[in-house]
Amino acid sequence: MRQASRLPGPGARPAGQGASRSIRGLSAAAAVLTVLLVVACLAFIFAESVNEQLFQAGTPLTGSLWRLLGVSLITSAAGALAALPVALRAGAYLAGRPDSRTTRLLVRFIDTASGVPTVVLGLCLSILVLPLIAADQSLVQTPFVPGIAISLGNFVYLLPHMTDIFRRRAAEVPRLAGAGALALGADWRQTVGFLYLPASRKASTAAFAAGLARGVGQTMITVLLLIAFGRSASGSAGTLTSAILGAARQSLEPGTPEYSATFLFGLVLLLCTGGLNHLSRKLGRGADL
Amino acid sequence: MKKPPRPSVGEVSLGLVIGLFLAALLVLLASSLGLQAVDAAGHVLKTWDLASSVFERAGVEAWQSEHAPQSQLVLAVHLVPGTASSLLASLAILVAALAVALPLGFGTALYLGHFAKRSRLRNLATGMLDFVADLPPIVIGLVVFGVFSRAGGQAEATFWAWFSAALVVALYLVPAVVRAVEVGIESVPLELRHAAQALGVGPWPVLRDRMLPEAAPVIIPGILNACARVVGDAAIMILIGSTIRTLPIDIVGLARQPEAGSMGPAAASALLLVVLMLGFRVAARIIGKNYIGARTAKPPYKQGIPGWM
Repeated sequence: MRQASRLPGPGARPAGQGASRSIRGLSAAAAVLTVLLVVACLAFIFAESVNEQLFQAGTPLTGSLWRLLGVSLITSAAGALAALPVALRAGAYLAGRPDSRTTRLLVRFIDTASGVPTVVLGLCLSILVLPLIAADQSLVQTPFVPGIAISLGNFVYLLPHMTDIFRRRAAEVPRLAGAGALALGADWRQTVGFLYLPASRKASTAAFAAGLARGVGQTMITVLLLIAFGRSASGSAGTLTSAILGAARQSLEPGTPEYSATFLFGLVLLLCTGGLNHLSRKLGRGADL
Repeated sequence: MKKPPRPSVGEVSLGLVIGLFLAALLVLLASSLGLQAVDAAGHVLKTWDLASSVFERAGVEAWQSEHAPQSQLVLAVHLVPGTASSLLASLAILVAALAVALPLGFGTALYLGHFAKRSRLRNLATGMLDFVADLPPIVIGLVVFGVFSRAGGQAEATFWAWFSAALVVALYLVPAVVRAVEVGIESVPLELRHAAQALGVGPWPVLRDRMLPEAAPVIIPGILNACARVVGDAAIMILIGSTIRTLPIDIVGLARQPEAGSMGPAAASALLLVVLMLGFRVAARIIGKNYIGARTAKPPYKQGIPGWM
């Protein structure tokens, strides 16, 4: 009764108008500030990366940009491609499981695993790699070994994340469709293979794009593995992120080609990951039913 | 005799995902544990990794009898001195960053999700924040690095080191807070808002009394999960050249000198980081499910109608 008496009723002036106006003004100010901050950050990266010396023919820095981008994309794509079939099966299996305590626990487990910091995974891989290097020093000199190790790191890093994406998408398949398939005599394997997997076609592309973006954007797995292999951060096995980190560790003078190149790497990284994430969001909306 | 059913491909795949995570934890645990020779005053004289402690026990005991016969051999986690202060520094930076990110993020999300009318400008702002939310943290760190390089590398001074660290983490957290609040508000049924407005209640009382308490179980875990992510990020701190020792910085610093036997302490710090991350996630779950659920009165549509269904 007390609550009902506080309501102004239809036709009356809405309650709390003054407070609403103040909060609306404050939140509008916060929104404007946040958007301005974001625009300023993006504009700053763009402005700092513009340096005419970078685009002169034969500049080694622009040459290294393509190499770093190539290594970033190849190692991420290799990790994401290797993780794709495993994540697809695991995600579809989780989505097809009946809702039970065990299922919820497994989902939480995958969610937690996808949030493990890259510095932790990088350290684990370093711990595993170091005895191998100690046993066979030629591994350090072999050209593709650090790249393979980084791809493996990306695989371990991306697997839970991509599984989680698949599970969410496959869970959008109406549960009654699964129950119907089972009622008509299909077993679990057939339900997953003929219902959940075909319904996740777009989700596979979305998860691959998201995985690629995450792999390109991760830093510490690459950096710690490069340290273990004794390679330079911007050397032949370096990626965009490791090169940015390596360059920032030296005291760079603003306006120099090296400083601008670091921001150019950042700009390319921003466009690459932003584009891939956008693609992933576009493709990942809903199941293909 | 009937054969047990073969595991399906899905079960094997899920086992691989879980197994890799558990294997990583096991590697950390095995690397961080080991024997320590400790003298009467409690000083650690020498440490051995778990493999040496188990398989080369005779060698360990030989070293002890030769170099420090008065010492004791104890099985312990190889934490380096100062790990506690690194942990506190990580949390202090997070708190300072939240002090900036929460008002900004909440305000932005409330305006875009509740007050602003649908328009192209609103869609543009939302799209831009979505774009920034998924960016790698190193890109945000690069901005702060650039600003401090222009200002003359002041991040080395103590105040500027803390300020830049909090600023970079806050910049990284704002889009995450906006997303968490937006998702939380979207999770509240629209009918609730419409019904309150039809009864003449203004936007702010609807938001304060109904929508925010209803959305809190989604908002708080979202923010805590973002905190768990940011507290483990090493790249942005290294990028701004911060002199503050946080847990991830400790790990990278120790991993740079593997021949000095520092992998054990690095693994122990990494294990602590994982525990911290798990703590945030468990707190998110407990707060989201129990605390807020118990404090907020259930609205009628959640209580169910007696005798119906």
